[in-house]
Amino acid sequence: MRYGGMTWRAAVLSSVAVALASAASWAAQPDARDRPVVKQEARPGARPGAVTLEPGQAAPDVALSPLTFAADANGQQVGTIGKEKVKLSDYKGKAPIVIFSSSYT
Amino acid sequence: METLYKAYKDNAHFFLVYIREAHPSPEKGSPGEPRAKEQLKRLGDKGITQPKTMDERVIAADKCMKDLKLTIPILLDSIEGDYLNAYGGWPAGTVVIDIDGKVAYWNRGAPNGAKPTEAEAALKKLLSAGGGAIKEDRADVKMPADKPAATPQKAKGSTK
Repeated sequence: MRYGGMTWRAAVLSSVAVALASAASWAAQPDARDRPVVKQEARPGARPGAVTLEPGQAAPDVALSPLTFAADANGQQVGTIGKEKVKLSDYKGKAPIVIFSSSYT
Repeated sequence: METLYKAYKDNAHFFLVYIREAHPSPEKGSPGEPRAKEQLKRLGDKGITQPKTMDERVIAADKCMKDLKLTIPILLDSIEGDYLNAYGGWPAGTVVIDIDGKVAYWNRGAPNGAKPTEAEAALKKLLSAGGGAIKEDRADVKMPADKPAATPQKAKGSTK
């Protein structure tokens, strides 16, 4: 019993010591200590499992700006934000929609 | 993506929604810079940092479209991620929506990657069931394709 009790106390003390050492180590690192807390933008792409769509359910309606093009001073076509947003629900009853999501990187 | 678009663009509306960068160039001095640089050694650094404004996203999308010679109409996801909030998914995510506005096919995308054959099968099924061809003018979508003289590939003399 006594042996078992000592083991339990030793384990608790050991855990506390490890926690204190970790805290001291963190506090000693200027990078970690001074690192500003950055508010994350809404980015479900970071948690893609959060959204799952099933066939047959109503497609979520979103309105997005199109990438359009206009000539700059040198006559080069440069991308601009289209004035009128494209609303997916506007295509209801017209034709199917196929959407790919991607970025360059 | 481009292959599907060119094959079926007369029968369905196609969009590439340009979302947040998956592997952006790190900002100098950022905490994750060393790790990101290491990762980009494998993936290739295109010199695009994570856009914080729509103007920055336009620049990234413009570069993507021109470098890859894309002709598919591009929509820009908002910085807040309206599209990703609604549809989830990683880059290369795909969704096919039927004429009644219901999801016919949805694929999360990376890391498993796009499955264009599945998307094509879903689209074919819709079209064979009466999806029909696009009859109305696409004037409601102000895309460069509506103005041939203004499209990048036309400007370069492409006949695509």
